[in-house]
Amino acid sequence: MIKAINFIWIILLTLPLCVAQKGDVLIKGGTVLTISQGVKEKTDVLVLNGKIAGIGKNLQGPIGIKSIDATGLYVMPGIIDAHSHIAIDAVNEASHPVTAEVNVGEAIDPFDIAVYRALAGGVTISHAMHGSANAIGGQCQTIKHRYGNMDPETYKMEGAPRTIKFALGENPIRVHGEGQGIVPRTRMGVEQVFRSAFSEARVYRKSQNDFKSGLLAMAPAYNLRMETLADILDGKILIHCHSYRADEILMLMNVLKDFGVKKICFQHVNEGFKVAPELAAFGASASVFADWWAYKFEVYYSTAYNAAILTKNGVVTSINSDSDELIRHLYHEAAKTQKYGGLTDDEALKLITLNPAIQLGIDTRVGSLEPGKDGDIAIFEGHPLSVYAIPQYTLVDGKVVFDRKNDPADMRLDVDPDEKFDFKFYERVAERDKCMQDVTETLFFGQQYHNALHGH
Amino acid sequence: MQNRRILWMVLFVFYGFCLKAQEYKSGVTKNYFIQNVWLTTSPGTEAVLTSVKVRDGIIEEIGPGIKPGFDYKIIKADSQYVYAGFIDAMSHTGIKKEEDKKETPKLPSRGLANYEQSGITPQNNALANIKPKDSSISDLRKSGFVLSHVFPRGRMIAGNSTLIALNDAEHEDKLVVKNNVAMQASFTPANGASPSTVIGVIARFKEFYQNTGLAIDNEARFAKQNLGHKKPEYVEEWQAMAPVYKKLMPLYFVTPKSKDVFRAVELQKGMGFQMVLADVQHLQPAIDKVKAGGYAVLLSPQLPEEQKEEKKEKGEKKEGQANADAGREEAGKANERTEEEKGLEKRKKEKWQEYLAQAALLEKNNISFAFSMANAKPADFLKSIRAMKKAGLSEKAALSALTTTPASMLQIAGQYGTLEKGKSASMVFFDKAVWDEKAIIKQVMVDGQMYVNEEKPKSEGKPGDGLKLEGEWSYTVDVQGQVETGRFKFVKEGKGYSGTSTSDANESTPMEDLIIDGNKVTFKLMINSGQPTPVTVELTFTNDSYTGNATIGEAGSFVVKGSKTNGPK
Repeated sequence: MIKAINFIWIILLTLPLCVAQKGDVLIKGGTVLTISQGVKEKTDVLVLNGKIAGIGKNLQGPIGIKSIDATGLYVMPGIIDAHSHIAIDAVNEASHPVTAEVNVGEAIDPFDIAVYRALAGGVTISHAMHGSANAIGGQCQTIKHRYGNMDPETYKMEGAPRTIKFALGENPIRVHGEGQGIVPRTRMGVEQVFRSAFSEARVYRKSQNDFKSGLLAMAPAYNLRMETLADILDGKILIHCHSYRADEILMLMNVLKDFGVKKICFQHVNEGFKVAPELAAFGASASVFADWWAYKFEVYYSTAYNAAILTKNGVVTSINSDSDELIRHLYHEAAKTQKYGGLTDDEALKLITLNPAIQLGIDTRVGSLEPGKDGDIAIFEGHPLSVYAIPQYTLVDGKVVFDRKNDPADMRLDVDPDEKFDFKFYERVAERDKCMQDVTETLFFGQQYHNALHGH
Repeated sequence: MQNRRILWMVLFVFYGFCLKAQEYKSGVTKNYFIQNVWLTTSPGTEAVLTSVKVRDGIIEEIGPGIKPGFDYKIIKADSQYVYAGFIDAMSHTGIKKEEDKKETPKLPSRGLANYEQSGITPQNNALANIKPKDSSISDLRKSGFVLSHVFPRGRMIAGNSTLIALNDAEHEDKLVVKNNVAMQASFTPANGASPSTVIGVIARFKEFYQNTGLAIDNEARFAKQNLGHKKPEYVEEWQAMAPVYKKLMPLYFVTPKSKDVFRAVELQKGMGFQMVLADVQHLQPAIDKVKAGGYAVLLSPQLPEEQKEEKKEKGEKKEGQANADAGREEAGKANERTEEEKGLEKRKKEKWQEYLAQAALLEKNNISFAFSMANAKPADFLKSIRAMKKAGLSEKAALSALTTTPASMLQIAGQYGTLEKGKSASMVFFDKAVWDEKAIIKQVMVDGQMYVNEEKPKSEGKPGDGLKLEGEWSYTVDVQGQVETGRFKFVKEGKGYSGTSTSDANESTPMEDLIIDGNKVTFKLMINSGQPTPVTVELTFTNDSYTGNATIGEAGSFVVKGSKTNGPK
């Protein structure tokens, strides 16, 4: 039997799956946690052509539709991670304090096994972000975990708004100020990086417009960095900003006010609890860790009540992973807010479903179980906020992409034929956040060390 | 006026005579009569026994009954197999690899890298960097190639290419078939400057390409001589990239793996340049997009290493080691793989097969492809192509990929790629049919100039009368208490010997610098124990056993002992 399944998998994997497929499925008799419309016991969820077609009792699908018996199981919307770095081949273009021109969506790695592991934790969408080495980093990409597809383009969530990474505080100061002796050398400098970049973009956009309207005879040089910054000023790109300290969070909101930018989600925002009313007033949202801090100086003043305080103050809040390990159990992370802050089930689950969807501008498509929304669904044995919860199935666009009982042990899509196995010795790499990927070695050991390690 | 023209003609003809006279003075005729060869004129045709007349670099006549003129050098290539000379569709032949700079260039400030520092050097031309006497030229020729499409070494946009003939001219200009043929790009980041990642490279590429287009437009505006148009900015890199933007010059995008292919395809779709996917090793997941885009592909014959497991199986079958000692069997049991480990090995093996089958996949999908020698070892490339053939590639497609397809890609199909009257006398001579595993290249003719592959024995000296070296010898070496065992194998090849050393863990290493002097044998090995380590072995033979020592890297010298296990005694 296992052999037969393996065989089917091999056939499936060798098919040129260039177009992401949408599925039909009937999930029967589960406890449906809709997030937006309460909990529905012993209820069916019907997905047709990748979209939720109905939620109710005794639903019937077309003849021959795949059916999942969810009796005794919990059915919830696919979990959304508003901050991760999985499935991309480059995280930090750390060569300048402003790199708005780069876009991690252009280096998607569809073979990253971390995507499958995330699916094994019920996560169907993640926000693949640029790192936090630069004050204005690169553009990010909202990806659907359509694991099994080998075309990077199929991972991009069609219609998801453009987003970009900003960073405050120690990271850009260390990389550029201390590392290269340029602005920003201090937190003040970081502010000036934003102000001068936006000002330059205004001038750039004016000269482009002057050419279009005929005021300029010759076309001015094209600058992708300035194009992107001008798009931010025009409200076409959502900002997601790496932040810890309250004073800097206020600083950035002031800068944005001056330049008329309205949309921002603060990431990490460990001192968000200090400025929760100000965030709410600005309309800013917050994406936090449940209880992760003290990994650098500016991240000591923290509390596990952060998410609850922000929520109670009316700030749209989510809990993220920033790690290919944490992404596998975001439901545990959400549950911690019930211990620290007493959030209700719905409030806690929103932190990993509807709220991150709002922050990514995709809440009309995903984040809750409602007819018309995408068939991105996680099915658990045990309530997802229970410490005993075990994900059983994960579906993206109505297709089962994780099946705990039936998936083969080796789910890698790409295998290196030159790979050397050493079964006796397995080096375990310490878990850490990936925000500073590509730069830390350079930072602490110098460029030569980096070159020696990476050969470039 | 008329008189002057006549004078010029006379002078020209006289000058021509002088040239000819000079050449004959050197005592080398440019006319060859190649007698009785099995000639394959083009891929897919049957080899026929015939003769070929070559005059001044051009095939003058082909036919079984033709006769040489008095000034033809007769080449008795009886029963050799002759094919059109191979064409390398992309490489850096003749250009030395720059020593990796140990120190990162100090830039005034990060991010302010200029085009050169960013790896954008489209103005670089291969010809300026080609060294005509570089050994890579003769190495490639020895492997059957007559032409090489050479790109300068570089990064994101490395520069434009020169198509060279692989002759032994003294000056690089004499190699040139044509210049400024194509541009090469890759996703290689800059060294210590912006861009430092693949996303940085893509962004920089897009911006640079866009600005090339704007420069072309601005030049056109300026040319109209309207008022209010100041002189356009002149940037060397934009000028050099303009032919690519105008689709007059193809862009060879280096894309070894499918992810690179997908990325290059996205760029191409957005910008519309003429693209060739270059130095590809594995593109299977992207095959539909490659087909839809109509891109030509240059495959790299540099394949992943064959797995040791398989070698072992083959070895056991071939040699039928019935007398394998019990000790080894015991060790085998201890090393038995778990189910999980077997599963991993199996997938690796499947993947390896998939790599071999890439050429067949391209053929099946009617995608035009040739071979790029940029990262391949010339000596091994035919072995790779034969392996691809075993994995489903047809003989016709394999030969086309080496001859007619690259000739068409490079727009020289009128002169090269097949053996016909009037075409360049560029051909390769094998002792057996090219797909025979044991076929060896005897000689190569490049534009009518013959180069003979001299057979060099792989070893120096010869064994004394009492020593029958050929066969298998066991070895035992005690390295500080850790006993390593295995076998040495010596094979007679032509006038000399070659050898391999195989450990009991089935790590096989060829012997290098094999010297045989009476009953003394020395050779070198490069073993891999975490890192490559050189080993020098010196053995003294007495009848069917030997003793000696092995000097292992810096670790010291250790005693080696062994005796004959297989072969003539």
